[in-house]
Amino acid sequence: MGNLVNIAGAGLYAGLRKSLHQPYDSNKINSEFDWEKFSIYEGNTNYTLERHKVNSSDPITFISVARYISKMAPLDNVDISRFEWENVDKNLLPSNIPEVDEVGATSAPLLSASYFIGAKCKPYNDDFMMCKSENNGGTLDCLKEGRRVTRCAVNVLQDLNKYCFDEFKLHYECLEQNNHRLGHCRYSEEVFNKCVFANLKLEKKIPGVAEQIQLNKSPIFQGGSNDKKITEAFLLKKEESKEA
Amino acid sequence: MPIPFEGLLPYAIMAAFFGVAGHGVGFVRYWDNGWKNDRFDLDAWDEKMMNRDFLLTGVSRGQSQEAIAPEHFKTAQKELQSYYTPYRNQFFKLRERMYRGYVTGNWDFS
Repeated sequence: MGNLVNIAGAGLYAGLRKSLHQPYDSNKINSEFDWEKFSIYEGNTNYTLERHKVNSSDPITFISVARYISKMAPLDNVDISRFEWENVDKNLLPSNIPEVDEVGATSAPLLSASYFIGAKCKPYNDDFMMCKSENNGGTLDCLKEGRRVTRCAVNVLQDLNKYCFDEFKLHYECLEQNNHRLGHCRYSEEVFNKCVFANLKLEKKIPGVAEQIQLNKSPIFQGGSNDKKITEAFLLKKEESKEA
Repeated sequence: MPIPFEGLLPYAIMAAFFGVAGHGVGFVRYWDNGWKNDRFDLDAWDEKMMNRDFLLTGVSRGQSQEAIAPEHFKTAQKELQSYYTPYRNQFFKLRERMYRGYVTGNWDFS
């Protein structure tokens, strides 16, 4: 009922506005305002108003007819007064494409875990790349292989969080402080790599290089980070917690 | 003949204020990054990953080691929309507002 009153009010207001804009002229009003139809969009619903002038001698007398038309499907949640909304896509994937959990790790943890993801998921990754090269990019043809890649990476991250949570955090926080430069975080990386090898039997191996730089104990440039100090404090704390 | 220290006081004051200004800006930037150092030398990949980080964590420079993303991340997206102007971000004059109104349909005659 409130909506109907609102609409009637809006119609009256529109009629009043229109009559104010156009001074009273009986011939003109007879020709133009006899019948009018327009839409109001209010509260997720589209209404259509039809106005008929009953008595042609009196321009103020209208009959307002409010008619419910339909929900507007593509603009379902549009509200003129909204100021925040959830960024949710209503056009879901077709049902023949199964759901897959997205990787939730952000850039620094992904960089930290990248070599272990590569070590564990190499067959899936190679399969995916082969599919892409065979299918001219494979945007739609390699969804299945892509889901396998995603699932494998999620598995590796779950294992890392399960067995090496603190070492993982130590390393990626160092990366985050040092512009994601691996060369500035070798101490924490060594701790992290040891933990991963002890628990997951995964080894960091840079492909296609003569020397595995992370194994070099005295590299020429080590950066100016306080990674060494933080890592030593971390190891000390860990030993203390083990003894206690 | 040594210079009396009173003659060097203005230079000491100037140097001190340069130091305060520089370290102050550095501190504010460090704080604004969530107690982290600035990122620099960013390429397109870094920008893309930082946008993704923002969608995942909801804060600038936020990091998360969660294996599985929250449900809303599947459909989250952030799009930067812009229109061409030869004087972009320089001033906000009537001419630019008229151009904006002409391009987007949102006229602003305030």
